Amino acid sequence: MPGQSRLFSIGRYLWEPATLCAGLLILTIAADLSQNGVLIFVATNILIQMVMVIGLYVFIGNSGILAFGHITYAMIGAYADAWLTMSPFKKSFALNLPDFLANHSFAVFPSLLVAGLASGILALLTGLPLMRMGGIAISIGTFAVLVIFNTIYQNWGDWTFGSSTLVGIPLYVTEWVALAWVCAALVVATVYQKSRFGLALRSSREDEVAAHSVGIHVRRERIIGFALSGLFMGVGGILQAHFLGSIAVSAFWIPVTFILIAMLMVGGQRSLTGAVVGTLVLSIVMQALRQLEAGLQVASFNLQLPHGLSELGAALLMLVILLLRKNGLTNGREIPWPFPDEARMIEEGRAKALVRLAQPPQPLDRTSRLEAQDVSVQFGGLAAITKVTVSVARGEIFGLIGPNGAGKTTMVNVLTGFQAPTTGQVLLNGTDITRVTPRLRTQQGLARSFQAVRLFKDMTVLDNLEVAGIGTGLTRRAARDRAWDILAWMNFEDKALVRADTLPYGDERRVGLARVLATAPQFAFFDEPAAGMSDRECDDLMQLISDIPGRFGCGVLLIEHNMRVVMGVCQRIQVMDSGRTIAEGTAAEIQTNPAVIRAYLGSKSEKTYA
Amino acid sequence: MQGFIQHLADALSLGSLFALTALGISLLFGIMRLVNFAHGDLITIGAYALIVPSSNPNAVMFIGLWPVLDTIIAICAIVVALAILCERLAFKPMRGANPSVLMIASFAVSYFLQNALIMIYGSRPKGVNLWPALAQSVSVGGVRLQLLQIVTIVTTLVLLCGLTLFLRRSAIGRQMRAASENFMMARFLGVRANLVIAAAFAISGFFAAVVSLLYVVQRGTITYDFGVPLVMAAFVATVIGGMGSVLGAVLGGFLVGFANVFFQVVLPMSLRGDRDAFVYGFVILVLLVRPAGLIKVKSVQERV
Repeated sequence: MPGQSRLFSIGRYLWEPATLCAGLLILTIAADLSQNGVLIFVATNILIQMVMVIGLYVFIGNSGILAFGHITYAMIGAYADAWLTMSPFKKSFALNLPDFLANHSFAVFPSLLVAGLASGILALLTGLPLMRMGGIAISIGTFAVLVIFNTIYQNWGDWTFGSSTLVGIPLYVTEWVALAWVCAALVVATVYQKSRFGLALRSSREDEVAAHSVGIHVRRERIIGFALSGLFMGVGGILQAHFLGSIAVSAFWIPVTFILIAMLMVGGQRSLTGAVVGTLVLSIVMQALRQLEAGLQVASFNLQLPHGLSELGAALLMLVILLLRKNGLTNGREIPWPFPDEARMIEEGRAKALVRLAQPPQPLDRTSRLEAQDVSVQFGGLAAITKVTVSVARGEIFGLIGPNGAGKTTMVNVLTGFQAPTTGQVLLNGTDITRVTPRLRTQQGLARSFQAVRLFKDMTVLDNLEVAGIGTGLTRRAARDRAWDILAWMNFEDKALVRADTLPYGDERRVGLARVLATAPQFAFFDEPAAGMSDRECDDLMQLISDIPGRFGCGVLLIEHNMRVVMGVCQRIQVMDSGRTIAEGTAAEIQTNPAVIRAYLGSKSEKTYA
Repeated sequence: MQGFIQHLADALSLGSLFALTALGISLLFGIMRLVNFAHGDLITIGAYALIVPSSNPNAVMFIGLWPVLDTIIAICAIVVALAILCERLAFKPMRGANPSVLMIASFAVSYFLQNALIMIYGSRPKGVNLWPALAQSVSVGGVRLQLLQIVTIVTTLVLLCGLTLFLRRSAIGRQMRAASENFMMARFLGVRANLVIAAAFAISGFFAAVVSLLYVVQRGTITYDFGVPLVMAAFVATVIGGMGSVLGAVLGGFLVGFANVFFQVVLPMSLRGDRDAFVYGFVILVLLVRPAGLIKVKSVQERV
């Protein structure tokens, strides 16, 4: 029944936020029913912090990059919102705002949206320079952002009341308002993480180089995640301001940053469930320790622990989690969907793919040509390649072989843009692409596999292929269709929903090859696809590679040491040795070429020295 | 001329503190990919160790009253011991974890140490008047300079030369350099990981102790987050210099020091409070031009 299946897929899509919201709703109701003012206060505070931790998760969880400056965006949001919502009378005591802001106050909800958006925009603007750097340098750069805005706000007395506490912010945030925003944050974070943007950002977390190689614009994806994350931090800061009624610049500093990050780490930085669980667990632990600091009556003893214990406890808990369970209490997993429907999904994917595969493939355009002319590459004084020319036509299978160290992989790096040649140029259909980045070359139709495979490990096989589709400009849905087509064509659809890091070695290499095809290349480069494969696996691989040009309309450049595979599938072979071309021709010509035999087996005179 | 030399001395002495702090961070990053946030707290603890432990806001000198050499030795010993203790308890069990995990762990260690300090000493600032003689001015070639600045610059020069000699000539120093080129390969060739890492922590702790003494004389007041501004400046210094490069850390430290004094001098009075915002904004500009820092380190780049 199609109606039921649609309902099922929506249920599956929103399963995590729905269950998490339901759980939080029950806890909030319980707190409310207790009519205990302190408990309700604590619960509201936890929910507000949860909005911020979800904000942190959106960036840190999906990108795998730590950020220490996010509390800045909460500060930006809180102050912007205070400017909008405080009564003109109260503003006049502390602030010296322009007339328009000084004389008006605006409704809280639209103000929250405007101020939250301001945080998001600021995160976007600060993200632009930060994301130009590499991994850990970005983390350190976020500290610079923290210092910059903290300093400015401390000294911007007219707008922020300087280092004094700004009071008189209208109170409207109850536990229900906070819960509503947690739910909204959970839904938006889920939609984001399941969208093409979330998938693309996670692929860069798993393997940045591979993400580039399938066309993902890593910097752009990071900026998008960073901006969204900053927006939620802003909303959290705004809610906090309207809950406490006051804000101070000094509160948006390292201690709060630490607690928020600790919450995410305790729960598990790689899952939304982790953000929620971590906030709850760390808050409860710290609250319990605070009770002990205040003194606890046990029988006739008054058990009292020294002040500051809750902070020490938080730090220790986080260290222990990092040590024993790196991906937090949830181990980086979401709440599992309880209905086993993977078989049905695979069946559906296969059925639809087979319909599409039954269509005849596009007629092959053999006019395209990829050429490298007189390419030389030097590493310091060492010449890896000297004046090598390679030319591959679309539709042919071309082998590049040679002993270890001959310069084959370097040649592929030059062709795909991972290595700039010292001299010489690369032409695609006559256009010079020597200076074009790997990502743009992938989008122009050059895609490669890696010797080290470099799958996106913590993602399913299907997702690995979808990332490649997304990187080359498809929508999520079209990318998914293409991924199923390739898997069905390879008879590999049974493994579609398996996580890549659980695959056996041979399958891993097959997925690496499938991911190249999922970029819909004009030219596909396979770097030792048969390495480590058994004879039978090699037979399958040969069949597969032979069928690629006809099915996908592309040229194949193959680097391989297994001569049975090379001789079996390649129409034309070029042999390199010590960075130079020593022979070129068909399999039969190569096998009888004396220079080739010498390179592989050594000549008689060399043998006597060996 | 007097003004210029005065500013130069300011920049060099501030840059010295940043460079020494950045060195302590860079050594550990080079060898074990740890960005050690807790380095700032080692500096803080070096300062607190001078006084009698008490939450009373009026600090009573303890080690700080000993003869100068004894004070220096005692503070260095305490901070080095603490650095090695941190390594054993927190970082050793996490060896081989990725840089993000290590950095976050150091953040937790830092939070722990700061709150432990609050527990013992209270959170209010304390006045500490160490070696008041260093505050006086001396005349050098007709220009009057603060003695402390001269001591800071000379100490830094001596330590930099010492470290260079140590890394180039001593057996452990060579092993450390090998380990920062390629840790795995160095181990295969017989470099003992425990020894090299412990040595790196010890040197890093030693530098923290020296910075601690120089900075406490300069500031005269200590708080539980005394070392945080230094570690922040040193962080950006290591990034500007190029992550993992020891020379880069020194260059970056001096660059940040010079930027500080430059903005202090050129900013109009009304903007002087925003100096740090300008300094860190400048840092981001530098990184826009050179995202990988001044000195690119090969072993940090990924090979395809």
